[in-house]
Amino acid sequence: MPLLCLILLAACGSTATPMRPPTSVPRTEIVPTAGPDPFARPEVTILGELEGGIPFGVTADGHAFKGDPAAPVLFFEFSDYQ
Amino acid sequence: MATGKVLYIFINYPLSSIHAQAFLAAEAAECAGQQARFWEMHDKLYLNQSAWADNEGALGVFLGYGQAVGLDQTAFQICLGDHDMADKVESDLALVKQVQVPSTPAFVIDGKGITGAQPYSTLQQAIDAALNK
Repeated sequence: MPLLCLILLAACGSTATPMRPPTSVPRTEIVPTAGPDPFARPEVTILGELEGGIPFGVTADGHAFKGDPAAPVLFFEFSDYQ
Repeated sequence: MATGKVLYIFINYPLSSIHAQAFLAAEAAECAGQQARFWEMHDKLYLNQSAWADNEGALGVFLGYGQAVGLDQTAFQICLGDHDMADKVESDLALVKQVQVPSTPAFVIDGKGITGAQPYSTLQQAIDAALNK
């Protein structure tokens, strides 16, 4: 299984919010983690459809999702609504 | 999502140290999710940030949103008032710590991380790159 990674400070994102103290520079960090890959394609339970017929539901890990569970691109967002 | 090309997954990352109501907002969305109305509450929270972000009465605001999106108000009030979904939000925060997400918003698209409030074009490029692999 490939190592999990989260690319920090994407070099192409000039508008990216700095994630480290001011001394940081754009770079890539690889953060290996033990256990299952949290960004692997999840098992899902479909609960219904949103406007436009978009499926929605919950992953096996309890995260809300929307979109085709078989879609080729997995898009995770971490957010706090603000 | 409408084209079937993207599966979008939301993970809570309330920055409680600087956003006093963020954790409760996450709980509100998760409580709505218990009634299959997560995305309706998610959208309400985003669209009305100024009404609750610095509002010590945010609980009442969220209860109003629950009514607006058609929740069973009694169940929603119990869920939110008893913090039934707090463990779920804490579980998400544990994942945040595990993979060292530094700030919000942050995105992982096809396994690659992007942080900060990015323009749509940046996210679109990442999606296109994933589609063209």
